[in-house]
Amino acid sequence: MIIEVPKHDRTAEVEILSRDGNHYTMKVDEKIFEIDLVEVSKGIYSLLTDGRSYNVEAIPIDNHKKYTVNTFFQSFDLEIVDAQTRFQRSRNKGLGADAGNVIKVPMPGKVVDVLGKEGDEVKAGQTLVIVSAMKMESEYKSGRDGKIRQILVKAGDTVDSDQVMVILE
Amino acid sequence: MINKVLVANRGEIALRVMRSCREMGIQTVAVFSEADRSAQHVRYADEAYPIGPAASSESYLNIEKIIEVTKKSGADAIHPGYGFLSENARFSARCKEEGIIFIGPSPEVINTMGDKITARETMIKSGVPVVPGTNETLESDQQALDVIRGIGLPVMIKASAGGGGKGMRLVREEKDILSSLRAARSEAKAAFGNDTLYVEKFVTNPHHIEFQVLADKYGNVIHLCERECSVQRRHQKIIEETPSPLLTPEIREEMGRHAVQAARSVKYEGAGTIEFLVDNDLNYYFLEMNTRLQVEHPITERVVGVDLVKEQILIAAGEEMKLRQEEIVQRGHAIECRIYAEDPDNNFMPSPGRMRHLTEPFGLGVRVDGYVYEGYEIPIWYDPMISKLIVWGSNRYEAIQRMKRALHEYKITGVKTSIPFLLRIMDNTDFVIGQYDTGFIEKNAETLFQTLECNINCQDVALMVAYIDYLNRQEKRKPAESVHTTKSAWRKINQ
Repeated sequence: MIIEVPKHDRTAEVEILSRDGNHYTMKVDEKIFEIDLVEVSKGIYSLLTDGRSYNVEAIPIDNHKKYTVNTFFQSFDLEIVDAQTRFQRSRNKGLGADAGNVIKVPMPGKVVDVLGKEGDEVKAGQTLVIVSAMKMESEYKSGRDGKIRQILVKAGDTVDSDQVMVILE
Repeated sequence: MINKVLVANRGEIALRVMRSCREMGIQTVAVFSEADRSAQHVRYADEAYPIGPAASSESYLNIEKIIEVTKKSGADAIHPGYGFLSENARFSARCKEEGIIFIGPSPEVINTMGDKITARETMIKSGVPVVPGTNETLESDQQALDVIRGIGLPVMIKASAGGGGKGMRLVREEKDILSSLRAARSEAKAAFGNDTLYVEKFVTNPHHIEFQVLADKYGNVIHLCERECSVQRRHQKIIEETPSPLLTPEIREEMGRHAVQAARSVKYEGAGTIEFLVDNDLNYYFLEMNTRLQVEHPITERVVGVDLVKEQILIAAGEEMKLRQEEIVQRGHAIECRIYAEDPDNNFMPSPGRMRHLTEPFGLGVRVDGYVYEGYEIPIWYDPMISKLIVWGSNRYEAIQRMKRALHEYKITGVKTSIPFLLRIMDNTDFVIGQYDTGFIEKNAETLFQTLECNINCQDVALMVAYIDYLNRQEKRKPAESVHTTKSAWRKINQ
């Protein structure tokens, strides 16, 4: 199975070579791992490998196609590229719904202000939406020069993780 | 006598106040916004009443609604915690009008200490050192130059009517004095319609050290030693400790005396905190007084053995304080880490969400003041602080080791937290040897923000876990559909 790590520009191939109870032999790209893996509660795994203990949390997003995985020190965003994902990706091509065209909010919050309207020309780095969460305001900016096709939120709206707020043409 | 206390707050501090009430046999009343129906303070209290929508301006800051609920519940006192209405003079005054005991200072004291220039003048009058500077207005350029040369660079030029950073200019070099004066003057004029300026010495990366005081209605005032609060990010404290590694016994005693004098000069009653700026040569200056319980009060409680909330309640009830200055001794060392729902590796971005898995640390010398539980959704409306982890050790070294152990045991999943960042601070050499000031995080940014590499690649571990979790869920959802190569292995196990 192909799994992408977008923030690290990595596309990894992960395979289970064999399994005996909790014990797996796995291959990640060219590396082989002998692991002992137990799901201690839903989405929380205890992984032992090479004498080391890892407590790992897998948080599924988008119907188990995307994951945020937290190890003790680090957090990774992963995307599972299965047949369905590949099909959808090829279908979406040309519809302009690529990541560069949408402005999403990474965490829940409340929209404080929308700076712009549909049809506006925008520049890369221009702030389009201000969202407040836990007493802190964050600005969401356009990733490129372009034109606003659609604005899906207004001031006062509550937004969820990964909600699309603005679509560019 | 106080029989029932309404706690006009939420989160960990509401719970902390209620705990002391319960020990004293006092009934507790919680208030909650629409976002807080399932919050721990509502579940812990004897009574609980809704006070409005999620936004604090319509609930936890709604003075009239809170007064109304207090009367309805028959509570005889209100404890405001910290934040929200704790330093609101109008709230204090309204309680007085309604015959409700406000467990906090009078409106007059809040006003005096809230206005920076009045506070400064009051301190000068009572002989408490303030940041060197002048209250005389800077009229001509020549006079300004003379005054600033007298104080010595760097200085901060401030607008007398100031606030919100407007009309403020930091001057480091002689050649910038006149242009900064002009800029500050026009900014002050535009912002406040008043271009009166004064000047204060600028202390570069000072230590931030505060003294806890207690004062009763009978003129008894004591201090409970200091808290070192110099580990800050974005001017917000994240780690505090006591005793301060910087102070000597002589300076501690002198500063403590000045803290008592400061509280006495405004006829203070209750628990308060005198904040000082301290430079590396141990020169100290009054900064401000906080007329409430501080977030970091538990480290003081731990080393001097006094429950500050109980003292607040007894003082508010009109009792005479039994504690004497000579009985106050710091025993051992205490450190507090504030655990925030935030992502330290992404500019401390808040991280609200649902708590999935929570394992709090226990064991000798560990205290957790928190309010979250497994399954609890941390609301987006309020402060991102999840809890305070307080440890005690017989000396500073043991306290640091214990804090590392406790942070390691503390498992919170579902939201990102500052725990890994706090652990890196506990391992930082400057922190460990106790040589740090408010410039600490900036100075050590390189080591504090570097993402620690795992012994084997953590990314590979994450990939394997995600893949297996994905397979598990696929398996549960559509048992018959998959033709994946790993299928047979799963089948074998599941049969």
